[in-house]
Amino acid sequence: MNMKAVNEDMSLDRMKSGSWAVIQSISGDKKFVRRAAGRGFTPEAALLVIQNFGIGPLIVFLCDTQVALGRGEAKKIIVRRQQHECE
Amino acid sequence: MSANELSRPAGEITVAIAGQPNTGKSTVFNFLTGSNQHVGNWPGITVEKKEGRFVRDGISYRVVDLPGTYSLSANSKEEMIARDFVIKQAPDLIVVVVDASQLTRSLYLVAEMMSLGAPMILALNMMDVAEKKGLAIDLGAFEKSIGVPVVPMTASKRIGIDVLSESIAKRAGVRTPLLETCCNPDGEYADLLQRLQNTIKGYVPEDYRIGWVAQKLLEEDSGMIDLMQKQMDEQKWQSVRKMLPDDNRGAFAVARARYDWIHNILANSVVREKNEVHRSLFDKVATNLLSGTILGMVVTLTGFVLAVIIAFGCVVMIHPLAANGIQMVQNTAGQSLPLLADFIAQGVIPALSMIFGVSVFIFGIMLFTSFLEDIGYLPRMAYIADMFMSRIGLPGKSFMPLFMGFGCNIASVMGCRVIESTRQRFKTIIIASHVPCPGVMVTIAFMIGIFFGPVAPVIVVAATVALLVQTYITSRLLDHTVLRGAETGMIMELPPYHMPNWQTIWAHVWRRFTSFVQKAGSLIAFIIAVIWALSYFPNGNMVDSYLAVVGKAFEPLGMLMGMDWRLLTCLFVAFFSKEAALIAIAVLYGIQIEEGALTGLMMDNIFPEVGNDAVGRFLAGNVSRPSALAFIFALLFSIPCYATVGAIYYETKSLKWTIGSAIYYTTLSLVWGIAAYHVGLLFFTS
Repeated sequence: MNMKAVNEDMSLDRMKSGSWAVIQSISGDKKFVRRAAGRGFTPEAALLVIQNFGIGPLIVFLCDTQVALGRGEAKKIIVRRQQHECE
Repeated sequence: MSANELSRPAGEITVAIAGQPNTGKSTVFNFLTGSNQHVGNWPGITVEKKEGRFVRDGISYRVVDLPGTYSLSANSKEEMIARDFVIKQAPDLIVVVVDASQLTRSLYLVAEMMSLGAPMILALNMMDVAEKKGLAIDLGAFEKSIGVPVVPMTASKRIGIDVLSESIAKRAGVRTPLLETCCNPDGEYADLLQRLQNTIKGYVPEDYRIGWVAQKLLEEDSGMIDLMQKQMDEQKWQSVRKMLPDDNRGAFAVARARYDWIHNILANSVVREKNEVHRSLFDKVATNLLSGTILGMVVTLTGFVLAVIIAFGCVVMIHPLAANGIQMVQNTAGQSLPLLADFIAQGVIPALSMIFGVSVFIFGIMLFTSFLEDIGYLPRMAYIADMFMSRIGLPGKSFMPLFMGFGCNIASVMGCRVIESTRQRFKTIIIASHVPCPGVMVTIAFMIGIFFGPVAPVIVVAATVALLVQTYITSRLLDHTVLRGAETGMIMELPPYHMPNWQTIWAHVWRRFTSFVQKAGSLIAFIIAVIWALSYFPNGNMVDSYLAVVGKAFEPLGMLMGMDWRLLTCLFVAFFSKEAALIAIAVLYGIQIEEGALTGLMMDNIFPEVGNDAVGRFLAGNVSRPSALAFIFALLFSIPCYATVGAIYYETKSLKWTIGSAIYYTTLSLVWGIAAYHVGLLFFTS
């Protein structure tokens, strides 16, 4: 893996379209956490923000699957921007 | 060795089909069982249960299609059903359908199943898509590292079905050995898991694997916590409780371990040419804020207009046939069996021909929606629609069904099936009746035209605003009452696009439609019979029928809205059909002197002359403007027509929800009617 940490944690909803990130943590109730985990959102997972208009839901790519994620949900996911390619 | 081998009835082997959504699970099920299917419901739950059978080498296999689930957690009813079936019913074999083009995601369910040790094979579906994406899967290595048989398939092209049924025959009843390598977390959580297992030992019900239960506890799965709490005494349970981390780290450790297992397998067996996101031009257009919105509107409108044109054509075609039928019944049985003849001529035939037209529309909409879902466009449209719908607390997927309500509310209610979350689905089903159907719009337009000529635009705007406000209120009210609980927002997969699979689409729609006709049909038939009888007896006339008697009895209530018994009865009639309210007005006010029950009059007036001047002038002289305003608003929020109520029952499978929504709408109707009347009194003197 070739990654260069930019060392900047932020919530996923603030990530710009086209940027790669690695999930640091996910908050929220247990149900949300389990649902997210079942669809690939876990700490250490890499993702690409495909589309973020600044309002409404985002589209992210989890190295396998495209997922539309509500803005409220994206706020609960803390990521670190990273130059990263899928394994 | 296993108990289920002993208890298996001779000649009957149970096979469960499991898999995540969008893995082509239904297609596998359809091809495996052919037309030999049965649709029911999981006991006590409003989730569809599909069962089918196939025979191979003289042995009959019962195939149960489990709901599509991402995992086996207590996140939703669907997941609970799948997990209970797998654990408690102990099927002889579980076929887990996996999307070969998205292995990381779709093997997650397999990883969890591994900890159950249940007999299992993998249907590695969508091999064609995987190939196109440049994935090379070394099947031998893949099978070896997973430890269960793997059948490569392209179910949409019918490739691999026979090999699958052969593998099913071979593997039924063979338990999967528990793999040490799957899927326990390491480090501190490995210790914790071990300690958990030691503590719950002896308390775990027989059907469950202790290792899996411990994993689920670490995930803080609510269902498993409840179960174990019941199994253990308070003190013992508290010692378990104390072990569980109070943040989310336990859940992630378990999830991470599953993904690690998956990554290991894939590292050994899959070569990717490239793993980058591929987005077609169409996808970019479909998910762009501006072009996606336009496309969504165009697509929705196209489907709507097409269904309307086809349905209207069918109604025009069938109308002479129905009219002849009525003539024939009256000629042959009118004298000898007058009651029966009237019932058929004025009740059965008119109702049937009305239902026919509506059915064609609904069927068309179902086909269209199913098509959009199958090719993968629907989630994209939902993603765009979510920007707007979420403002009134509804999911993006509710847009299309709600829009179809402008054609017929039944289409909305039935269309809500595309919404996965039960909560959101129920909410949309209840809200669907806020959308004014053509019957409501025609009737209201007529009333507004007569009574509010110059200020008509003001009333139209007021009614629209009232609808939007009420939709918002209903949505929030549901959130805070019957649908209380944590809101789980959108995490929606956008599956790859693919060519439509007509066989699956047709089978799905046809099955749902016929099952609807059978089930809701009996309720609808009953209501038609009641309405016919109410508006026919005792004298064969609506003006002095029991319906009118009911109207008179409720007149004091009507007076709160400034309505006399006649206007109130018309409002009751709206339950039969919204257009029928217009005809009832004409009849009850004696403008149109016609004999017969309401249903029969509907038939004669299937294309009512809305702008009839005489009716208008007469009404304007007999009903005050505040009363008319009350009628308009009361009708706008009135209980949906009987057929929609039938559809609500069919979709919720709950008498409580059906009756509850009927009472809710009746109350709304009354409240808005009273409010409109009093506002009307302020502005209009007569």
